Amino acid sequence: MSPLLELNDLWYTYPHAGPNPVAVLRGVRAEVHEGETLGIVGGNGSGKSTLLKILATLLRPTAGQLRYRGEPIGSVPTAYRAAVNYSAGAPLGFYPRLTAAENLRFFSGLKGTTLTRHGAGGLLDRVGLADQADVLYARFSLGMRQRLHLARLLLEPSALWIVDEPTNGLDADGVRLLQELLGGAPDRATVVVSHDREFLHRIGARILILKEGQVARCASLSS
Amino acid sequence: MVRLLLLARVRQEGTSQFLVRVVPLSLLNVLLLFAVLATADGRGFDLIGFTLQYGYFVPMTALSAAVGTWEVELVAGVAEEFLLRPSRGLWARLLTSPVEALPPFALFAVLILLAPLPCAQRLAHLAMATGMLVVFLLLGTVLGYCFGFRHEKAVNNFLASVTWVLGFGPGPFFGARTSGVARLFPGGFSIEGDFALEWLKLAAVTLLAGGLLWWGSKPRRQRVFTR
Amino acid sequence: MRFTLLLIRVQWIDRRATSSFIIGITLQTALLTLALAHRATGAGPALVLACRAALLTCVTIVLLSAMSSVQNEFRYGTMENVLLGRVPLARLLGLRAASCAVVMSPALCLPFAGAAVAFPSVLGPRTLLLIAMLYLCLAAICYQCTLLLCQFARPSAAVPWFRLALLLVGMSVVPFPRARQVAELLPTGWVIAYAAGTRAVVALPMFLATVSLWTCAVWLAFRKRLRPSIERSLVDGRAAL
Repeated sequence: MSPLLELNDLWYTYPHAGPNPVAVLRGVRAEVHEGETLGIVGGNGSGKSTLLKILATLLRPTAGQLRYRGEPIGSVPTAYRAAVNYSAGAPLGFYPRLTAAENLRFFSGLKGTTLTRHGAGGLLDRVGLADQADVLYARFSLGMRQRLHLARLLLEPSALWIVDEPTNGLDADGVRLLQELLGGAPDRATVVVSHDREFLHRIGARILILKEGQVARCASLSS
Repeated sequence: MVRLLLLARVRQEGTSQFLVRVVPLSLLNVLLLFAVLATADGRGFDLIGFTLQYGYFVPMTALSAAVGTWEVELVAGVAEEFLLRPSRGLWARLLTSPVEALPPFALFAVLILLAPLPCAQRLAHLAMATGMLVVFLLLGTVLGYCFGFRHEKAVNNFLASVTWVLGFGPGPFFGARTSGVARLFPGGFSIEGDFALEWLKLAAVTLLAGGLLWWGSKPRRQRVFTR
Repeated sequence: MRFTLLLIRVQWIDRRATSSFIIGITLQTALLTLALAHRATGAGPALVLACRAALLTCVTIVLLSAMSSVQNEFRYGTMENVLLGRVPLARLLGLRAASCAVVMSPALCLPFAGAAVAFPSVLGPRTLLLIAMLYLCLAAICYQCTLLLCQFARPSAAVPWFRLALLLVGMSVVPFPRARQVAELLPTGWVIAYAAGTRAVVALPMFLATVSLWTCAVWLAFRKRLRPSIERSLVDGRAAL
């Protein structure tokens, strides 16, 4: 059975990077299987976020290929994008002058069906923001913003979550909530970038270590 | 979604500020651009000449409004969400931007209806102005989507130049000049009553918008700009 | 002199740093220069068109400069010198206004160059005097608007209205009844009158009179309100008005 997602020899170099461009990603190969969590770790500038953006089809790799359920991803990957949920995380990502509930309603509309006020309230309750439904996003703390990003991930069922540094700014309760959410759907795969190896261990992630744009190691954390 | 987008825009700017910019300031700006060269030699206000310049003013205000509304998305840093699922977001944008382009359009619509022209011509001009409004709103929306997120100054650069780039066609600066390249600008044919070719041009602009949408929806070579 | 040159350099760098501004101004100046050469029927009308074109572009630059004038002085640390009594505020703002007028030279002079190419008879002492009047007029507007805009909680909201008042009314662009008389309450009205050759004898002295009158009036009315707000800004650390 083919993996959910295959990363075949992915290279990425920034355009207009000067006369001696350095590749941010250098031949990354990996697989993500259904139901598994892949945690990506690495130092600053090792290419983690760039890799996530390529997985989310926000960036086009300079070379290499991405395959979803055995099929290469096309030039306008509408079906793949519909199956993927990407979160770049706080502090940005929502309209600062809309309330939490209004933001969720808008982004649910973007994903297909606009939530009712009641529906948005239910989601906010799940991430511990029920009391802040009518507060403007601009007034949210970093942790509250991160929780709202989690709520947006819950807007639609998806086969793959791609999440960048989700623990940033979260308090202990927030991290516990995140853990529950990430472990709550056995049929969904997750690719998560985090500096917090303890957290990745707790969610049972297989670890991919990126070093200078290359896969230095790929194994379970315990090994 | 349209209501929420509009709400985000109005709250960002403040209701009174928004209303002042969209209604009196935009109308006075249209008046200024028309008259700055036209009345220099002591001539009065040529109302019919002004009316027929809708071919410059309607596309200019539509493009400015449609591209300008993306500023809120730039501030919010929501590029990824729009790029991953563009269709409904772009429809919502397209339906939001008329609010800002409507006052100048309404002014020209009224002037066209009151113009001392045969009824058929008045209707043809009105239909043309409406077509221009819709098509250039579409083009502006797609331009903002394709280029707005690429660079922090993309939207501002566009807004600063659109008035003057379109000015090289027939309009307040070169009058009814319809020779050569000027015909390629909006209103190049309709100002002389040649509507069929103007509609063809609008169809070409619509195709261009479609092409840009397809191109803009592909994974990009460069990261989106985030504040 | 060295300080003025420094201010000119700083403003030039500031303007160049805003790419949208440079793109807009360059396109606007090019378009207006070409358009006036296309529209003018003779040297006289070309001069009026050049005046209007230059004012349309330069008034926008002046107002943007006036809006950021005081904040920039905080940014460069010169305002502290004012508060410590080393430089009089009036002199600092005056030098800023003058350097602002110098910085907008390309936008101011190009329309006249376009007019001269189309109608060589435009070249002459009258045109040079007209350009000098424009420099003085724009520097005065910059100075006055700096003081006026400081009084607003949101100067950016007031700028479009100042611009429209100076252009629509000050150049009698919209020919409503008695538009010319109303325009002549402002220096811009007398610049246009001089360019058009109407009332040429009184235009120059009246221009100088309106410039002096408005500058003195604005300075007297607002100087006392300006200093406390600057000091407040320094004390509460906002460093802006």
